[in-house]
Amino acid sequence: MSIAVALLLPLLGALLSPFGGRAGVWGRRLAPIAPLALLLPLATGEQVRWSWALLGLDLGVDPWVAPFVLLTALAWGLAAWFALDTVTGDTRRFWLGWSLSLWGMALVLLAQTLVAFYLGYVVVSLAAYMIIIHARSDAAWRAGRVYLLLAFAGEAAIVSGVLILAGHYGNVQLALLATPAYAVGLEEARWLLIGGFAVKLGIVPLHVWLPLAHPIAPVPASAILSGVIVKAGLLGWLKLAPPQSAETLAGAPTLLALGLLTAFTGVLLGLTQSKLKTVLAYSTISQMGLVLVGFAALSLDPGDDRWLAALGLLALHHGLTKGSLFLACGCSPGSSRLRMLLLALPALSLAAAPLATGFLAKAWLKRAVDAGIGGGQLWPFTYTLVSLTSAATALLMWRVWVLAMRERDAGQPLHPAWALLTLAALSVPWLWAASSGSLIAPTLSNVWVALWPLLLAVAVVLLGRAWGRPGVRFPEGDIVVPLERSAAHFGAPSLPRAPSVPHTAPARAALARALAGSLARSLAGAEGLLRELTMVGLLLLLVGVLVWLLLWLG
Amino acid sequence: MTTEALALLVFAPLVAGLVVIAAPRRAAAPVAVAALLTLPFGLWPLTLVVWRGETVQVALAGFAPPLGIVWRVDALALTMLWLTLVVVLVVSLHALTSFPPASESGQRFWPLWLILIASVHALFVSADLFNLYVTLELVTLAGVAMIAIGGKPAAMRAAMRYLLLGLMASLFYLLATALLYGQTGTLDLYQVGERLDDGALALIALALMVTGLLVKAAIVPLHVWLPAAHGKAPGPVSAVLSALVVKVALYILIRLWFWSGGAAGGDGAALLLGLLGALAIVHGSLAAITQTRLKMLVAYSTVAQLGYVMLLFPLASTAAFRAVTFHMVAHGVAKAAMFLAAANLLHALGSDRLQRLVGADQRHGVNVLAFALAGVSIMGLPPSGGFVAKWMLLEAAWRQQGWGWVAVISLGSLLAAVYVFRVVALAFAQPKGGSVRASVGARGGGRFDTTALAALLLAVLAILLGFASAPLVALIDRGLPPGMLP
Amino acid sequence: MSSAFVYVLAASAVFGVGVYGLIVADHLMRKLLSLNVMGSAVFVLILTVGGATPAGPDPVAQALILTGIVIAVAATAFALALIVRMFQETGLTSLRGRDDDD
Repeated sequence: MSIAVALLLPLLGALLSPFGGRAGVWGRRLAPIAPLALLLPLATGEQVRWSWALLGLDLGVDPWVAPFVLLTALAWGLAAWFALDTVTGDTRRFWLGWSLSLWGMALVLLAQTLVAFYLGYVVVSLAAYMIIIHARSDAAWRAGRVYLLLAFAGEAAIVSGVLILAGHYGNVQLALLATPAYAVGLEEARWLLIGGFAVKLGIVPLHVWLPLAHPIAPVPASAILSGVIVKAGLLGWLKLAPPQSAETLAGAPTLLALGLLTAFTGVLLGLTQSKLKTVLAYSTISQMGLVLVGFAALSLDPGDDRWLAALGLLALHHGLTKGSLFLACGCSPGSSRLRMLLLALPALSLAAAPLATGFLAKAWLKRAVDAGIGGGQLWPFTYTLVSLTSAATALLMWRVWVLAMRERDAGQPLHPAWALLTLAALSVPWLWAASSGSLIAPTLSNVWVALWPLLLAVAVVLLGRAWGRPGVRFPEGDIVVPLERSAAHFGAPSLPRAPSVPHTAPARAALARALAGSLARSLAGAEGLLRELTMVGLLLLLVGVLVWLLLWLG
Repeated sequence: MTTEALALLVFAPLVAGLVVIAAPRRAAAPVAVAALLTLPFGLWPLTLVVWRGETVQVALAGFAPPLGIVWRVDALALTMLWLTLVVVLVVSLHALTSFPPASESGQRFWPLWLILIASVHALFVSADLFNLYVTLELVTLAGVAMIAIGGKPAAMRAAMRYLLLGLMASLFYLLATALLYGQTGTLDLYQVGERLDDGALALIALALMVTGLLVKAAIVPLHVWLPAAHGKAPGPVSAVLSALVVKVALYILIRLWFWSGGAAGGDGAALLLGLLGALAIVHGSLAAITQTRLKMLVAYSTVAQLGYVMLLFPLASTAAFRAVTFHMVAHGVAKAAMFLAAANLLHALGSDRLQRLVGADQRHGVNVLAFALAGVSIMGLPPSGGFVAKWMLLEAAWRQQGWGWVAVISLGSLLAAVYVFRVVALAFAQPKGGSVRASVGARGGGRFDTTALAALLLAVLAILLGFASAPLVALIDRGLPPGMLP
Repeated sequence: MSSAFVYVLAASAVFGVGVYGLIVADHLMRKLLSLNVMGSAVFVLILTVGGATPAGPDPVAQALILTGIVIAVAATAFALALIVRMFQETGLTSLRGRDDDD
């Protein structure tokens, strides 16, 4: 029952929101409530099996998914409240996309069978597109285009992996995938799935869509894109390509290196940005690098449940904190002391300042890495590198602070949803850790371990002030820009360009235009020829005789 | 009870069709609606019997075969009857507005419509080869007449081509029937299979019959009549032609192959049929991608989607049969929705050239939504019926390690995504200057009328089919061909 | 050579002539006539294969042919009407040329 409610509310919202008038208004009012309904299955612990639906749907909250559910309920609900008051323009499509992506996310969270998860993931990916292009500006179309291209590429890898799994085991119970009996199919599918889901998380070099798409959406939509929806990729890793409990994953050190690369690249590229939301988007990339580090550490030591819990904690902390930071972008954070505080606290927390929730998450991540080093599978200096990511994040947060202080439009109200989400970001991960027994005591040594990267960052900032910042500027989306240019040069087909040119040019979609030239002509020619009855007669004879011959031979 | 139910399915629309011709105009609407609303009452008792795993068999007026007519309903026939019922009822809702029964156009439409329904019903319940011929011919004639109803030159030409090829195909079929009767002395679908030996004559008969049915089913390269016929016909007609009328030929082909001993013809022929299907998937999809008109695009999509059914012949497993039957239902519902939505857009925008669709979602949101939802099913994305069908088909191909078939099925979905997305992206695009052109919506666009409701109903149903796949699969499993085990 | 075989041969030849005419002829009337020729061939064949049993003429074959003739007449009438209508609308009596309009 509780699961049905949690799934039906967003769906109801999605069905109502395209309508104007009363129905649409009711659909919107559901938006802040619907995510909270996800707490119901969390509280009741209900499990359902709907064998009549979609080749069999098993739904329920696995214990390790609980922090993700908590994150979705809080961040999505508060962001929806924020969105109700701020989003303008064509709101029907926005709310349709919003409710649909929530529905998809709910399925991703609750899914315990293969098809259910895949369904949710596809819905999230497609519905997110509707949110991203909400502004319908040229920049939004471009972001949407790049997003779709990468999302489809990721989707292709994922669907191949899903099909491999399905070919071996049918619509498999996801929990079984981690057991040794299912090793064969998983080995074939694992890297396809890891690669496909990495697109959603923005792992370098598949990150290029993220700094374009996350900032271009309306503020609350950016908050859920960066805070919650990226976690669908992590859930994909953990549910569809879980480390097998029996043995360590051979490629785990490589994954860990890639995670660290992503963490530092995200920061370096982010430092060169001049728009607040873009900096935050790069920060998400960097943080997702840390998530990959956590996933790799888990793969090294898959028997230990603590590392799985650590990933949940990391996701909960980052989601709430990043959501709060994005909501700040819509509230002129530089216009009053209170707002500065509401910005500074989550920013410090993201940099893993002592006693903040980031400190907690980072400490667990470091323990996981330390265990890997202890097992002899990692170089010892990886521990230092992971510590240094905090310094890097701190630098990036300084950049956020500098840019945020320029936004001093006091006319913009302080939305209560922002304040609440900030409070949640600062407290809920602690509460979660307390309730699940994963607290870390703030002993002096623990605090020092978290503090020295921050001090290092402060030193760098001071030095930077003295010597002046290097004037490097990377465009948003970094390497996508040269790629786009070369694509244009070679006339490569690309997905829907803003097709807003019915008067000036023959309005065919770009893809068709690329194909159209020769293909359309030759097909049309062939069709015209085939249509002549003489040809039909000949073909008829051909097919008839072939059928007869083969029957004869067979 | 079942006899009356069967008779009701066939005779209620038939009689109503004749009454609509003869009766005063005012009576047309009530008569037609009454006849349509009785159909579920005919289908329900049959469902109850078939669900128990039995087969309904009725000798009309007590005459035994081969002289008398025998009707037989098993689970496959029942599945197709349910598809017919759902599509026909919702499309009729559309037609009540687009062809008001009391109007001039309605007077031409409704008798043909009702007779077409009666013929399709009669075809699905027929159990002998000659009855199938008669009903197939009736279905074709009614279909052709309905294409030509609007009187536009392009539609007339399309209808003419369809008629000539259709009649020729029927004669191939009839010739084969004669040969089979001569050899086996029976017309019964099941007995023919038992008595057939693989002499030269029988093989010629099978080849003739298969070829004729391939024409009727518009399998590439014998599909040339379909795109224009479906693309130029009025909306409700296109919908029912694509959803049901082409399926009818495939239904007979499947019956012939798996019930009447065609499969004994060997793997070579089955492989050829599968390859034609693969060709249909690729060619139809590519052609759909390059169309510049919406309805032609949808019509070519039908050409592609019919190809999936042909994959049943080489795969020939229980899983494949389940998948293909499901696909016929899922495609029928989704394609009817797509054609209705396309016809509504054509009506509202005055043209179905793709570039006219820019910004259509602003004023015709419901129709665009219906098209997109149906497109989800055609692409085979979850949670639609199309997804379940293609998933099962992939699984069937995978189990037999038919990697080539797996590749074709996947490619087909990918190409379908391209042509569906092309339309949806255009409809969602912002028109230059931000305003929709003045002419748009001049003809009653934007209203949420029954035509849009019909399209949306079918589209939602196409999605729901994915969720509630279990009952349908259970029904299909009750009617597996002889020799296939669930 | 049995007489039945002669009939079968004749029917096949006539059917082939019909198919050829349908495909090659340009005028729609000719195509329609070709279809009728094909139909006649089929009727001859039915009569041959089932016509004469030791117990006398086969009633099933007779019934098939009768029904077939009725259908052929109906289809021909319908096709004629369509041809006339098409001529009135387009002035054409063949299917040559391109399909596109408006």
